[in-house]
Amino acid sequence: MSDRNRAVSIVMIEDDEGHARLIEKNIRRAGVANDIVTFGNGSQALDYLLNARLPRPYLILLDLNLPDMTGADLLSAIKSNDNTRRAPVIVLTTTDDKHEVEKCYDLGANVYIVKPLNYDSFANAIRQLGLFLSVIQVPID
Amino acid sequence: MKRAEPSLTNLNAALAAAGVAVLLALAYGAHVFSEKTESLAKDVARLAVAEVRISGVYTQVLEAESSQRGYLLVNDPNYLDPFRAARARGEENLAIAVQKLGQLNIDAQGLDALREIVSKKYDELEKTVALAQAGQRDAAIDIVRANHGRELMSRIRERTNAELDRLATMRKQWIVELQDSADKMSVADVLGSVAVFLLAALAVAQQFRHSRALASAQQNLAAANDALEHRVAARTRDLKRANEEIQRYAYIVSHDLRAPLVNIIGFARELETAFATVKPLVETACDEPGAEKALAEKALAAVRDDIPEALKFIRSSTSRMDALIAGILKLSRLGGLALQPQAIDLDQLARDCIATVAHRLNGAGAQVEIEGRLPSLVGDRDALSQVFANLLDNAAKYLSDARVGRIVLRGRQTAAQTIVEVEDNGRGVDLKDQSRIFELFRRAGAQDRPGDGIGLAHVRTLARRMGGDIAVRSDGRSGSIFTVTLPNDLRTFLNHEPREDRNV
Repeated sequence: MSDRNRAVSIVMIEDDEGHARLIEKNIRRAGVANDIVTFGNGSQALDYLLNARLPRPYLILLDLNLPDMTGADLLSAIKSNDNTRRAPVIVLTTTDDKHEVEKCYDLGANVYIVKPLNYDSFANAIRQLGLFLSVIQVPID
Repeated sequence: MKRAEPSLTNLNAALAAAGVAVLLALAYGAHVFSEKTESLAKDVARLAVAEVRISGVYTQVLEAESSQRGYLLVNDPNYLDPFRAARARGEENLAIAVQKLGQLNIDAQGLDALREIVSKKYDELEKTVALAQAGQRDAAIDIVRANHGRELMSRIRERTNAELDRLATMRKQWIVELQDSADKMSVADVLGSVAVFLLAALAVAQQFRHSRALASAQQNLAAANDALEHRVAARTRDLKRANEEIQRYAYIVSHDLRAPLVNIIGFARELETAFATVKPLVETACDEPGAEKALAEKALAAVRDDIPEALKFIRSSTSRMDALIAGILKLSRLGGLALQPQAIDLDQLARDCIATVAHRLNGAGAQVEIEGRLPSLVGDRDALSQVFANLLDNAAKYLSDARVGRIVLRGRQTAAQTIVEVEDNGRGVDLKDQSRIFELFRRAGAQDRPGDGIGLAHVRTLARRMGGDIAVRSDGRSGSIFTVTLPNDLRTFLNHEPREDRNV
């Protein structure tokens, strides 16, 4: 992470500001210092990811319930774009519906995390996610 | 249609009755007329016999006379042969004639008179023959010459003719009657046949109309059925849509309610964390000598009691809300649960369920028993397991402290349904609560056991999803009996379930 241009940038697509804030706090608490760019809707996030002037390695945190498009549509758009298709995608949502989970994996999601309502386990999940973020090798090309 | 049906039936019955009546009348008439005809014919025959016999009497007298005359003329005894037999035969003929007339109830006095004269004639003849045989032929001829015999003879002729005329008149009249009777019989025959034919034709026509009416009624019925089926299908479709709507609604509501809840829980926890760092500072600051006393007391009360209490209530309420939302979500998912029908031995399934809730049962010191053997059916294993595990769990949870817990399972099967009862001797369910307890989040009786009011709602949703239902019977004191009704074959229920693609 010494080379800022090469460092992984975390793109969080989450329409609930509270959730976004909680997720960010817990990521920070887990010791992850990467940039976090947050978007409240799908189209802005897509615009940022697909038309980036200086493409960087991204890690995408995606909430499935978005106001303007479904998380699934967003996911398939990300996975069909050359810039972003190798970016790991962590689906983070309140839904633990079996079909939804399977669908996300089919579309190329790397991890699927249900936002637990039990705060302790939620914080724990986010921290583990942070640890995960700090160790993964994001492919760079 | 409904009105035409009985009138058709009545008309047909009337036709049949009329036909029977005509046939009976015909048979009776034929019988009467043929009896009459036969009796008339016999009478005519008897009369004819009497006439012949009477003629015979006269003929025999004539024969006897000519035989006598011949003998007197040529004195040859051979001539006497007819003479000898004539009297007896005449008597016989007369007797038969009298008998016949007697049978016919006809006055026979005329014949008595005839017999008298004939007898006199034979006396005269025998006398002359006797004289001739005794050699007094002249004396005999003299008697003949006296014309007494001739007189008798003409009287016999007159009397015979009179009798024969009388009888012939009668016979002619009878023959007319006979003819008449026979005519009437054939007329009755013809009329009856025509009537029967007409009735038969009418009945056939009626039957034809009836069949046509029936066919058209059947068509109408089929059309009505079609319409009904359409309506039922449409209603079922609407219901299914409404049901799906509710499920989606429940899903969305529970899902969307969870989002803010995540924030409330999360930031409450942030607050706790932040507060944990602030609290010792506040306490230190309050302990400092320069601190204003009243303010310090308030601040200490806030950090020691008020804030922790508020956080505690936030936490307990949010976790309760979490449970409620989870309940709604669970139920909304059950409604759309894909069932997998398979042959299931309920007895074994119930034993497995008993084993699953054994810890709670043992904890409550309760005995569970299966009365007889539970039947087998075709159903969904998971759903059935959940139903029985919930019911057993429920029974174990609400046992009475006053007595040793006892839970009994029993089952029976009708042609289409399997009925399983779970009976306990627990605290029972008050009558007013008996329908409430199957509703989501509703509980009854003393609220001294943990629970969210989800279990029985869950059971009812599952039972209904499988085409069955659940009910409870209880006196509210000495226990309750939960009765689960299920189709014997889940497939028949699922096959009747409308599918989207079939209707549109």
